Amino acid sequence: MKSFEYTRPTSVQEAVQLLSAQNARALGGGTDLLGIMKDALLPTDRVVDLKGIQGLDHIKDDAGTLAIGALARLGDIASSSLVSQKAPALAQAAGLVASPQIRNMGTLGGNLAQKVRCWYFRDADRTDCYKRNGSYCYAVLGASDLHAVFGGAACFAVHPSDTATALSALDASVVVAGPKGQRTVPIASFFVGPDTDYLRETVLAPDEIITEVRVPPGALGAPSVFLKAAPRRSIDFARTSVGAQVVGTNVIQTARIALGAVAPTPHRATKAEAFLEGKSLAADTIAQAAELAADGAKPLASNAYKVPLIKGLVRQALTALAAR
Amino acid sequence: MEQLALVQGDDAEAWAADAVLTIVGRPQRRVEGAAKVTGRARYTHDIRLPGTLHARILRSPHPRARVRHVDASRALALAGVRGVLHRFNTPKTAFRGEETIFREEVRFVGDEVAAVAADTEAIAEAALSLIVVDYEVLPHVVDLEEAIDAASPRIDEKGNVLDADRYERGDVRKEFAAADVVVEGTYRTSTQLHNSLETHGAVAVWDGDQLTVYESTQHVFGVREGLRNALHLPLANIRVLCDHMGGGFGSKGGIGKYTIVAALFAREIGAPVRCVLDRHEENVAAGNRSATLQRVRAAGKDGRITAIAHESWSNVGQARWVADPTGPTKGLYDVPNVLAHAHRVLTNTGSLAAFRAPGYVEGTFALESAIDELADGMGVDPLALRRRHAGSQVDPVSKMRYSLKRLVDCYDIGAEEIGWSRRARGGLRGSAPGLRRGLGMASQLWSGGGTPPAYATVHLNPDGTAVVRIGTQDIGTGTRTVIAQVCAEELGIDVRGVRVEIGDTDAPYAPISAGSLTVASITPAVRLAAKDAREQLLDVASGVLEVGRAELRVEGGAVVSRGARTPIAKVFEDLENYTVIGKGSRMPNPDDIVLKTFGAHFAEVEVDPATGMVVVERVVAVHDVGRIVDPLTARSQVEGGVIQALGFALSEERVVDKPTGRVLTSGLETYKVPTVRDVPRIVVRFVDVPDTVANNVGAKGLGEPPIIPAAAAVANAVANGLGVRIRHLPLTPRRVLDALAAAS
Repeated sequence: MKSFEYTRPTSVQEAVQLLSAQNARALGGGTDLLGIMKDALLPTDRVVDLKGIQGLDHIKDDAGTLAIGALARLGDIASSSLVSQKAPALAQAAGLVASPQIRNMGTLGGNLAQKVRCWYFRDADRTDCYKRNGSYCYAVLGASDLHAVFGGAACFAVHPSDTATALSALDASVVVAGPKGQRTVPIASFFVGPDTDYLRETVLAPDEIITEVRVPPGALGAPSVFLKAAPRRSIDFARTSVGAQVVGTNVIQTARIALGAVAPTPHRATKAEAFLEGKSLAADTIAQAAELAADGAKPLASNAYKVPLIKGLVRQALTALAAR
Repeated sequence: MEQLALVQGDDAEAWAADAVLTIVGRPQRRVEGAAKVTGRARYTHDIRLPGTLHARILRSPHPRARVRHVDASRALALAGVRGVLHRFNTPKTAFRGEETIFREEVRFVGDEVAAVAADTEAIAEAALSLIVVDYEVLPHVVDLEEAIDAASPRIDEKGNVLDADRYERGDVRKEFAAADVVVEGTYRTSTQLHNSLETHGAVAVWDGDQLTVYESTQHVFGVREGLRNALHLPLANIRVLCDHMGGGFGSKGGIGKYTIVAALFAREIGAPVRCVLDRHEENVAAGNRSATLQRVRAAGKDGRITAIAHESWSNVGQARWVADPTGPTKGLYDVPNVLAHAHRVLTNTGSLAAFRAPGYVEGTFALESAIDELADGMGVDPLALRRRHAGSQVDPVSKMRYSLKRLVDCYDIGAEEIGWSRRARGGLRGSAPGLRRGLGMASQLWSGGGTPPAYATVHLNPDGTAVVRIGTQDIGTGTRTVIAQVCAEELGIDVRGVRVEIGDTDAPYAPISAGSLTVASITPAVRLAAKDAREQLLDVASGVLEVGRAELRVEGGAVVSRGARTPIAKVFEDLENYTVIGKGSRMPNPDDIVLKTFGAHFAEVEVDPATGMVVVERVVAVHDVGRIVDPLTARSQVEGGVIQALGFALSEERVVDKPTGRVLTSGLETYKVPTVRDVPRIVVRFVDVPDTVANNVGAKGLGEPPIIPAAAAVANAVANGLGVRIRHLPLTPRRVLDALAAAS
């Protein structure tokens, strides 16, 4: 590994200042960053270790809002009775990430800000990949099993985060700190696709960090669920995931269905959501919503299986919600 | 082929089926277990000799290219770099039929181009990027089916597709014409990567003209032979050591290019040199199980299988041999008409290496899928159909009798355990709405009879403890433990009083730990050495105790005669350092008898047609391998084999990028070895009848049998549950969903 400067700030202000240097990168649990550095995928001259900052690992009820610090560990979120009760989809998603060891290191902030797992991006020799500041996407003519069926443009890597999918269904927002202070970004605008900027996956500027994730009172306590399909039952990234929440008893007022690992950002199945509003979760309604969830999918050469997978998972997620 | 067998001494009578044994056949904890769990066990990767230099290998970024020029001047100028080897400065060193370790035409991404030795691994790694290579890039092909296609680049002057083996008995053509039912299927298996926990590697050190090599290997004597050929040294000048070893699964049968690199640098620089592969290199350049394309036709008439034709194509990379998938088709069932034809296909990918039951895993999947398809076509239960062809005691290929065959017993035990009578055509309802459940089974055929030569010595110490010395190696299978058991049993001492010295070419020769031949090759020699020691002890005891030799026996560490027990230490008390040295050698296998192992696996699966997920709930693995020496070790062999087979069946697949020839799955994130959560309940059962014809222990090999039928059993269970047959492994969600979409 190339040598680098290691810094350990004790405050958010200090952290964002340290991040303003060229090729500085924030370190949470390190489960993604260390791999990137070992493989020299992205130039890294300075590591800003956020773990020295006190008070960023909370999981609490903040006047009705579920507030989770960016440094809260995925394992703690998965086993939190508060999260399981108020936002079950998030607890389920956190519990399905990787392995116990990684959940004990990995943080919520890091899980949202991780880089893509595209097997071309992760191959150190592909220096001309878009995400390495190149101008080529190998997935278009190569093996696209992992790649996007929605929203690809130039780059077809998918966002790999399970918690991002769950939080999208829970209407969460992300609190971001930077040199000019703090801002709160709705989760729907937190992630950016390649049409905006293929070099990054979120709105975070290089000198910004996530400090907290907030799930609003309106989304809390309503039935929600997260399901994930992957070749292995653990230590695997989703090939497709779904986070779903319905608000309203008997008749659905609001439905949110977020799909993971099918697009460069968490993908909201808006047609299915609109279709469900005002209806109840009867079997035929669920079946129609599941069909609509895959509407607009444009598979590449080897990922057409994601279309039935989306439909199958959405059907199972809504069926699970109907049973609540 | 006539085998020359030089017989040394007399064999012992085989332990009878009803012999009362106190150590052999009883569960024994691994004798090296404490050393392993406390971290004291030393592996090749742990060897750090004073002043060790580290070598790293520069590998081709192109799937096919000519190396025109190598400029290493900038690498050599880097502080800490001690040498660079490449094709223009390296002496000719024979390696697997080629004259040199650095090819003029590199033939896959990862092919060796140059090597650097440096003070640290990091410096060596940094130096690699400073070597400038001028490549003339040539057209390439990496995919098996594209390589077969005549329109693809021809990468070898003999062509890409080479005939490997052809076999015929009876008249297949006639029987297909006369059949009631004929089924035909094209089956595909994917390239499986070994992923031994310990990667390939060697440490070499010279003392004058004496070379010592520490190597992670399945055959220390094979490495010695490879070094002799490469470096033209007398055998007496080479010593190869392998104390503990982190798995090989067939891929560590001899030297690697890294061994030669380490030995050449160590000689040139005069320091120990360590060259070990990282995980990426391991998965690109250290071997694999070939991807296959197989066509099977099977015919049935009057409730019996009348003919099978099996043609196969295997992606071997550049290898000069093929792991023939048609072995089970020729030998597993008593079918009168068989045609088998294997092809070797060259591509610009890393070459195959033997991989736990090479060919048989791939071939059993195709054959046993086709047998199930035929049974469906004939409207008979697939197990009932197999029973009609499994009882013969004569090998259909050689027409000679088997020493012992209990395949039908395996069926009985397995069918009872899995509840085969529940199996229904079209499958069963799953545990939740929408889920489908299926049952499937498949049979196993493999050799495992062992082979001479193998030699052992047993030193009986004056205190009644013993040291066994034999040049085998324990590749993680428990070889040390079974040696200690057989020695203690025959000698009449406690197993804890036996120290096992292995992994050293200065010990008596033993064969490669591969082909399921270790136990059946070495334990008969160990037993004879222990017997020799015991008899010498009794000679001495007879004189010391003044009791007739015929009245004495050794039991529990003491010489026993008519109720009197004299501890061995007491017998030797006044003899100072008198030492008993027993010698034993492996006797030839019986003439005109075929030694084989048999088995059957039964699988119960649940499939989710909505997500394509296959969950294996239970595998019942039944094997007929003669006497079980250690039930614990045997059971873990079977569990490991089943798990590795489930990876092959469900998730493991090397993906190569066709345009660039690069392996996309060289790491353990993308190359999906099963995790502990993917492992089902595995029920292990043995027929456990000693094969007293085979050898004096009555044991046969169990390394490979448990990986052979599991994938086929799972595929048959999935087809049973889903009602749709998927003829392409692994059965990933993608393949299941694609097959369901195509079927609807």
